[in-house]
Amino acid sequence: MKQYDKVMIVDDDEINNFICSKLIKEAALSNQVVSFTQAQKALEYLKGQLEMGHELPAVIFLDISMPIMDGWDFLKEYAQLNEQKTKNTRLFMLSSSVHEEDIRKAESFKQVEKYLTKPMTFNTILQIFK
Amino acid sequence: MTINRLFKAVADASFELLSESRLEYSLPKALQCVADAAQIDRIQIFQYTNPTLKFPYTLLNDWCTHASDIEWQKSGFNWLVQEFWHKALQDRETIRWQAPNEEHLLKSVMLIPLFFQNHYWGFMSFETVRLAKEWSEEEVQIINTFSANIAVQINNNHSERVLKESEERYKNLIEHAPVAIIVHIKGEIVYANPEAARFIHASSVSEIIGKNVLHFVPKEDHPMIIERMTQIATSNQAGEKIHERFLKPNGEIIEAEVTAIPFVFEGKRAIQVIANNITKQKKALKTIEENEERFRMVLEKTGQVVYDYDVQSRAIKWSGAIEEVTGYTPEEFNTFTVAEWAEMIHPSDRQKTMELLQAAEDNCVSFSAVYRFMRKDGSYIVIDDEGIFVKHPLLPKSERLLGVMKNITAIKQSEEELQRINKHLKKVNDELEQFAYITSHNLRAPIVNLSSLVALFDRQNMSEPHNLQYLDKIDQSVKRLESTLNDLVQIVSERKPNPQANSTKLSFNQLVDEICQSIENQFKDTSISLRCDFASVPSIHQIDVHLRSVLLNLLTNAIKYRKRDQNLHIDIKTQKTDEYVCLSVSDNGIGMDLEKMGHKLFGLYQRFSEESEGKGMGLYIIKNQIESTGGYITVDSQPGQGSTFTVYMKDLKESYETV
Repeated sequence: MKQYDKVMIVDDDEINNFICSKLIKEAALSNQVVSFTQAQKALEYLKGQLEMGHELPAVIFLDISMPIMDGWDFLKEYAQLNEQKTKNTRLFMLSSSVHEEDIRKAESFKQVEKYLTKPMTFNTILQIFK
Repeated sequence: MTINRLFKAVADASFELLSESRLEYSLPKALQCVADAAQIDRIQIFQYTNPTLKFPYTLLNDWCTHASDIEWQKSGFNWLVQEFWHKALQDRETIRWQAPNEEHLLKSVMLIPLFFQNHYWGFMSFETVRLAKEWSEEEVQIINTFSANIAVQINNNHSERVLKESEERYKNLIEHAPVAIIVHIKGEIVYANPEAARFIHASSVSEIIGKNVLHFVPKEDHPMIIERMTQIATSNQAGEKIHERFLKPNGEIIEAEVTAIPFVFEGKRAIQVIANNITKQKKALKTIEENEERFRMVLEKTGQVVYDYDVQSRAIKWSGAIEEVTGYTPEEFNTFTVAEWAEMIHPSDRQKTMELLQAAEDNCVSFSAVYRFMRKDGSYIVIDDEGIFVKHPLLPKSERLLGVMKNITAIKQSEEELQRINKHLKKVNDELEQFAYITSHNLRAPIVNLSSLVALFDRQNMSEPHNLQYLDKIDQSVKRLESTLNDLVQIVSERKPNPQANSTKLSFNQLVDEICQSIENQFKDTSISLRCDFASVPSIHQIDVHLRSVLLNLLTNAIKYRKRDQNLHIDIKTQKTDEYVCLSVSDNGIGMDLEKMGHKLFGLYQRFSEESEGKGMGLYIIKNQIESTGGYITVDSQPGQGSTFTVYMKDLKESYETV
């Protein structure tokens, strides 16, 4: 399995971030996991990386339901970023929502590669990144 | 040739004419007599018929001795009548002509003008070919008399024929007339046309003739008919058109419209009676009346009032279910003008209705309006008014408005009730959907976490240091789940107004004091200046728990979302509106972008700050509490400009007292 430089998790649920980060490291997907419980902080981080000329995280896991800025708002802002820089980043929705509406909405964003329903497991990671 | 001979011939000719009225037989014989006696070869009669033609005469009769001599006939005298001769003839001059030499076929001509009732009628020409005749004055005299006689005969014959023709035509007309016609002399029928036989159901005309008119009239009508007959006979004037009844042979009654006129029949004074069977019309009329009655009944039973409004006079004719719909009797209601009708429309609906009416009148189109209308007893009903303006195609303006006012109060009420229920159902359904969505997320998230954590837990090696970390997280997740479940229980219990939770009179001042004390510890480091103004509404009848929760949530929200670098100011005041007691809570906090999050503001599990520790339930709960007693909540805010929440609550005193 390919090893990625950096993985980003955006979810207001800290326990989820803790679990994901554990799984990602154990599956050896990446050694470096950055997690944010506020979407706007995550966005600021991305913009900062671009300003400093750093590469963006290679993989992003994004939750939908979050206070202030939710997953959709984040996606709209993310779409505004330089496409040259974001095209190599693989973005996955990771939500506990099983609502058809949410899944369809997620698919309408071309930046979203896949909609994943929680929980994230070892197998999910293997299947996607094999 | 003697005068006597000519005189005798003329007398013979006149006798011929008198004894035989058909001129086509008598005229040639009469002319022959005269021609023989006077040695004339040809006699022609010309009638002056068409003054516009160059030769304005029509040849009526041509008699000649040598009928076989075509050459001679062709050389007839017609061409010789020149314009000055024609004028002379009209001046009653006799014209005589003789051939100037032997070569002329025609030797002599005499033209005698003919007058009838002093009008120029035409002329007769007397021609000779055998010798040039010289007419003596006596001969001319006699011929003149003869000619005049001929003219009279011809004319009489003509007028007799005209009379006969007109008589024929008249008889034809009567015989084929589609109405029954009889002629009676003092009651005895002397003539009847075939339609009369059909009218009275007689097998033939002869069955009627000779009978007395009264034979065909019901006994009880005899005096009336006799009086009428006498009146027409004595006045010698036509009787008025009346309705009479006649008897069929089988005893059935025929209704008829009858005209009677004095008439001379074969020299006797008679009366001509024309009868038009109106039994069918009567039946049709009855059907129309029955239909009208049916129509009227439908209108009354379905609560509809029909009107016919005359635009010019502004008068209205009303019919239908007037009393049932308006409470006025038809007599009362029919005295109302359009202005008085307008007065009965609810003031809020009046202007609109009158504008619609005027617009429809101006364009001469249909009028349709729904308005509240005051009945006689002062109560209002909802009227659906549909009408159409009509006008004469050649006139510019609407003349009448025909329409129906229908009482649709019941329909309207159930419609409104249905709409209200529908709206409520939709709202409840939306809330439920949101509720289901949120809860599924908030319940599912910790459970998903739990299962992941349990999977990560190292059972083989219990002393593994990570296990403690996992256990810690499991504990957190369980707590979160427990808290969510508790929230749900609370929300469900709040959704239904608790029937036991009766309203009590609550003082705003006292409530705010109590709440401030309860949260004092929590915010002791925060500097708050609180201004209360309950002067206009110091207290309200409300459910204690609800109002307490509303105030607590709005106050703690104001504190949570304060500006960290400024002193917090909170203004609470009450006001009275028509229906509600209005409680507003304003702060100088961070405010919010309502366009961005207004729709989420009162939703479940919506948080708007990372720093504050709320669960996103407060506004959701108080919104439900307020709405459960018929109130609502609004918000006004801008980022950085503070927020104002305004709660509109019903004072429950009335419902409390009536319960």
